[in-house]
Parts: sequence; structure tokens; C-alpha cells
Amino acid sequence: MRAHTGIQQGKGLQVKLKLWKKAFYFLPALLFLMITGLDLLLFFVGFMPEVVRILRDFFLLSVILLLIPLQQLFPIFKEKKITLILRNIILLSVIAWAVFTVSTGHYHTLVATGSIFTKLSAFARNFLIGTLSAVLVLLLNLSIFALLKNLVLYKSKPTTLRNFRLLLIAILIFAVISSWSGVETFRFGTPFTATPFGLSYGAVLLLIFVNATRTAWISFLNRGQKWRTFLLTPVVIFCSTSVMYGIRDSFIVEYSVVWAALIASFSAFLFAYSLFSGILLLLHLPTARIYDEKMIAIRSLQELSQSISLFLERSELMQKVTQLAAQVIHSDFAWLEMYDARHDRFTLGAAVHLSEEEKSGLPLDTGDGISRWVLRNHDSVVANDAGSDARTVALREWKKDIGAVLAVGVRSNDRFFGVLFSANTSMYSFDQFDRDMLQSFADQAAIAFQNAHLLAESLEKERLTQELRIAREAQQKLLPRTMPRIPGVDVAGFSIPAQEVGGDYFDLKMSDDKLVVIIGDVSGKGTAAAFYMAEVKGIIDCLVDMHDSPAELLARANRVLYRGLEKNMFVTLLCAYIDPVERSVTFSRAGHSPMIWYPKGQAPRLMDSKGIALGLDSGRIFEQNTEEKCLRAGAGDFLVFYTDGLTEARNPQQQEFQEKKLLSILANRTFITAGELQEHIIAAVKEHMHIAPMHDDFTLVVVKFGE
Amino acid sequence: MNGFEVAQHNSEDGITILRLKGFLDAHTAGDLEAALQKCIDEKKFRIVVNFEELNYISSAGLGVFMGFIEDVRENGGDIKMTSMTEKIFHVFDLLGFPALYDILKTDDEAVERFAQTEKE
Repeated sequence: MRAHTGIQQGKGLQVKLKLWKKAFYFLPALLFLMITGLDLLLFFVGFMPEVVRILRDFFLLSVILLLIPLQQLFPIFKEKKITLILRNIILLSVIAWAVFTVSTGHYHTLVATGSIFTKLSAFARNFLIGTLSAVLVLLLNLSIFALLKNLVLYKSKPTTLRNFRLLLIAILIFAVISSWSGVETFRFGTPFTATPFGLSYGAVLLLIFVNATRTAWISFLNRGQKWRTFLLTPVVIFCSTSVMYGIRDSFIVEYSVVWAALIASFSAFLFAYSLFSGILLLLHLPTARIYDEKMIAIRSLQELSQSISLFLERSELMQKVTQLAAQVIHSDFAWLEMYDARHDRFTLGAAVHLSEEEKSGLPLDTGDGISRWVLRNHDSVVANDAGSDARTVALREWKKDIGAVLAVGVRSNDRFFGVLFSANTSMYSFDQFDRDMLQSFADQAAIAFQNAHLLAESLEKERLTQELRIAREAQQKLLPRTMPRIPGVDVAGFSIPAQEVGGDYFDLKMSDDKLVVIIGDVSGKGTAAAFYMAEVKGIIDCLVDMHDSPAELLARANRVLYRGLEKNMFVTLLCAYIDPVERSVTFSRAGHSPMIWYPKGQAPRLMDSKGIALGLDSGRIFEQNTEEKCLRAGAGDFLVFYTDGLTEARNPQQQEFQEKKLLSILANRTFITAGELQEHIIAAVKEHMHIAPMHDDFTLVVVKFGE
Repeated sequence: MNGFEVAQHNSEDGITILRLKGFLDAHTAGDLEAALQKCIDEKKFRIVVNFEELNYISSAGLGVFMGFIEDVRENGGDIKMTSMTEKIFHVFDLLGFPALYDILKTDDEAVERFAQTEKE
């Protein structure tokens, strides 16, 4: 509730403030009416003491001071466009001059003789022609002064505003002192006397001079505007001079010295300012055309720089950059040579205004040419007299009519993209400005190229990651996802690739009531190994049902694989046929790490056998050298199959895990399930590796015979 | 990281001896490949590879020999391996290389073996 009331009170206060503000607007008018009433009184009294005149001037000055805040009501004073400000100043100064000239000569007096009727009519005439003209001339001059303020403060420094305020203060002081010093002093006084009047007069003149030199806006006019403004300055100079010189002898002095002093000061400033502006405009005119051209170039550079950032595709970007480069600085033809860092050579990216024949004949990368020079020296080249520049020899041979060449590097912080060329048939057609322009444009182009490059790179990376993810999922499907449930044996299998995909392989199959365990490793790792791993799986899947001997199975697999494998690749495999009832194990090892037999209550042992990896020999030697062995296990015995990724797992000191350690971590420990033993080994390997990265794919299969 | 070097030495009987040093893995296999390719380009098919100072060999390193052996043997030459440390020999042995390659104790033995085949 309270807060609510608070808000209402706040609103009420705002309304009150607004009303008060509105009343304030009418204050000057009210004050002026009171003064006019006083004038009427004095008219009849026929006599005005000096004190009354000064007091009356003080109130008239107050009217002006109260008018100053009112300027915010008129949009004309907020105008920021220079041409419109100039138009308004010229218009107002002509009107001020016309009003002043038409009303001059009207005798303004505060004392009159005759009957009441005569006096009244004289006063009315005086008021309508004299007083109102004075009001109008002053208001116009005040407005011009406010408009000039916008010009003076254009592109201002902090001191500019300070100087302008000082001028305003000096003018007010001068007006007060003028009134104090009296009509005669104001009419005939000079700034060269050591009186307060002379000093304040001098101060105003000095500050007028200081402020009149602030004409930064001239630079921002185009050639046509400069001409028009220059031609109109004499009009303003004439109008302001007329008012400035006429004011001392005019009726306005009779009406109010303060007002006359203000009008004199304002018109003097207008005169000085228009004179300075006129002179400066005259000095600007000869270079206006070139200045305009450069301004247009800068503006188009901005627009073009923005537009190239929209192109993200490289070839499109090259085309656009070259096209726009020809626009930025007017060139007869332009082309872009792209640098290929990998092969250290330049290729033509894009060209404009060149025929297909010329494009194909362009001398790219001629050791002593411009492109190399730009690449080496981190600089740009302006060859205005192409005939005398050694670097353009090849270019001139290619295109005889080349007169001038301009070449800038397109480079970002860490990358050199290429060289942007602009060429003209006429000699000496490029200047420092053109070079800077083309360089800024090239810098923008480099950012666009960088962005395009980064975008393409991240898209490519994204795509590859996606592909690898799919490959990994596909490969995971090649491995057994669930462990077979077979009475008499307990099985656990585990495989993890070092990269997204790997060359390790294991499978668990049933063949004639026997469990077939196959574990293998394709040489190398990554994608290539993964493809062959899939092939190995396919071959084994086909063969496993046709053979009941592991050595035969491996021999057949070798003959098939040898033909399909790369010369420098091989596959190691270990195959074991396990009879869960008899607890007999027949196994054969083709270059693979031997399996471990861990009989219950005894030491674990490596079950070595002769054998050659698949892919090394076409068949005969393989078959002669790969033996098949048999063992009879007991209840509670374990078999451990693994790939060399396990025994060669390295710790941060690059030491391998090794078979010895594998055997020792198993010895004298009892495990209940295959999974438990598997977890024990994985934990030990993890502990060994600590923070070292995985080096090779890692696979582990454990079989336990039931008790 | 782990460097690898191949030093080539031509003996008077037209046998080329390559001395391997350091780590032979997927990153360095290219160096050995280049050295063997050079021998073949120069028609030097009788090659002895000395493993005395080799610290490590990966499957990619083993693959290099497999890639060249056929070419060399077809041209009447051979790649004979010598002076392996126990560790390196273990790798070759596990894969069954001794059944396919001449793996000898010293360079002299290898040179002698070449001389014998020459006579036959």
C-alpha cells in the first residue's frame, strides 16, 4: 500500500514539475510585457533616470537568459546535418538583415511630447515597428549563434566547448558593461581603451577570433556542397557586416544597450565565422574532387569489407575479393594469387577483366616475381613505372600494356593466404593512398579467408569424428556382446582399442559342443587395422564350422589372408578348442602371445608352441612350422588369452608391463569367477600405466573350468 | 622423441650392411623403408641388417622387412638379420620370423652365409 502511495506521490510531483516547466516558458514573455508596461509609464513621465535605464537593461538581459533554455523546444537547433545547419544560418542571417534594414531609421524614443492621444499613438507605432523589430533581430541573431555553436563543436575537442562557453560569457559581460557605460560609450567606444568597456570589447573580439577558426565540418562536405557554401558565404558576410556596422547608430541602441551589444557581438561572430569559412572553403576547392574520390573509396571499402564476410565458401570468396578489389581502387584488371604453403607455390585464385587465354598465361611464381617478394618481405609493392621495375619483367612479357602494378599480401596473424594484384595500363596511376586502401581491403579479406578456413576445418573435423564414432560402433558389433552360457565353463571377454577403432579381435563360438576361443591382433592400429580385423573375423566365421583342429583352421585362414593382406602387414591369432566336459584344450598359436594356463593350486604358466603369424608366408612354411598342442585341465583351472597391448602397456617411464609381471600378479591368488580374474588383471595394468596414454589395443579373455 | 638411425656400410664382397639404432616404430619405419628402397634401386640385393643398437621394434617396423623380402629374394639376394638383443629376438621369435628369415649372431656369419649360397 505504502509503495503504491509513494508512486502516486511521485507521479503527482512529476505533473507539478511539468506545469512549473511550462510556466517557466512563459516567464520571458511575461517579463517582456512588464517591461513594455514600464516603457508606457516612462513615455508619459517623459523622463528616464540613468539608474532606471540600467535596471531596465538588466531585466531585458534576463529575458534573453531565460530564452536560452527554450532552444531545446525547437528541432532546428538539434539538427546534426551540416548542409541543413548551413542552409538555416544563411536563411536566418538574410531575414535578420532584411528586418534590421527595413526597420532602421525608425526613430525610437522613450520620451515624447504632445497630447495623451498623440503620445499613445507614438508609443504604439514605436512598439509595433521599433520594439518588435528589435525583438525579432535579437531572436534571429540568438538563433544564428545557437546554430553556429553546432558548427564550431563539430568534431570538437574538449577545449573547443570551453572556448565557446568563454565566448558566450564574454559577450554577456560585454553587454552588461556596455549598458553600465552608457549609450555614448557604446556608440563611440573602441576596444583600445583601458576602460572596462574597452577590455570586455577586446576579450569578445579575441574569443570570436579563436572560435571562428573551428571549421572542421568543411572536410565533410562533398565538392558540390563546398562550391555552393562558398558561393553563399559573401551573402552572409554582407548581411552580418550590415547589421554589425549599422547597429551602433540604430534605434535598437535607444531601446536597449544590452540588446544592441548582444546583436553586435552575435553578428560580429557570424561575420568572422563566415569570413574564415569562406577562406578555408576556397583553399579546399582545388583538392575537392580528389578528396571526394578518396572519400567515396573509403566508404566503399567499408561496405565491401562488410560484404565479403558473408562469403564462406573459398572459391566464391576468392572471386568476390578480386572483384571488389578492382572496385575499391579503380583498376583495369585485378587478380588474386593464392599461396599453397604445403607445396610452396602460387596458384591463380580468381581474376577480373582478364580473358581466359590471359588467365592461363599468367606467370605464376617466377622466383624473382612480385608474389615471392611480397611473401618474403611482408610488404606491398607499388610499381608505377612497370617498365623500370625488375620484379615485373615476367608480367610485362605476359601482358605488354601493363603500365602500373599494385600488389598487397593477404595475410592474417599466422597465415599467408596470397597476393592481391591490381594493374592499370597507364603509368603512375597508383599512389600511397591506393596502396593503403588495397592493403586494408586485403586485411579484411584475410579475416574472411581465415573464417572460411576455420569453418571448413571444424566442419571436416566434425565429420571425421562422426565417421569414427560410426566406425567404432560398427566394430564393437563385431565382438561378442554377451558371454556364452556353457555348462562347465565360465567365460569373460574384454577389448578396448587405443584409438577409436583398432586391430584387436576375439570371438567365442560353439562348434560340436566345444567352445572355440579365438584371439587375434592385426599389425598396426587405427582404421587400416580395423578393416583387416573385420576381414579376419569374416574368414574365421566361415572356417570355424568346417574344421575341428585349430592348426588346420589357422592354416586355411593364412592361405586366404595372405592373398588379401598388404605385403607389410600380418595378423597374429591364437585358437583354442575347449571341451567343457573332458576339460581338454587343443590350441594352436600363429605368432600370437601364448596363453596362460593357471591350474588350481599351482603356478600359472605360459603355454608356448611353435607358430608363424598369418600373412608372413604363403602357406607351406607356415603349415610346417605351426604346431598344435593339447592340455588336460582340472576343475577350477583358468585359461588367460591376451594381446600384446596388455604385456606392452607402458608406464610414464616407458617401461612395459611384460609377461613376467602378468604371471606374478596371478600367482598365489585364488579367483572365484573368470570375471574376477579379468578385473584383477585390468586393475593391475591400469595401475602400471598410471597417467600414460594407451599405446596399443588391449584384449583379454578368461575361461574358468567349473569346480 | 625417440630417434632412429640407419647407417649404411658397403662391404667389399658387394654386401650392404645396415646398422639400425634407436626406436623402429610407425613414425620411423619410413626411414628404414627409404634405406632398403635405395639398396634395391642400386641393385644391391645382398643385405645384412644389424640390430645391435636397436632398442625397440613395433609391428610397423617388422612390416618393413616383409614388404621388401620378396623383391630381394626374387633377385637372388636376401635380407639377413644379425646381432639382435634378447628382447628384439623375442619379438621376432614370437611371430615365427626365424622360420622365414636368417637370423644370425654376427655380421661375419651373415657374410659367410651369403658366400655359401653363392657357391651353391
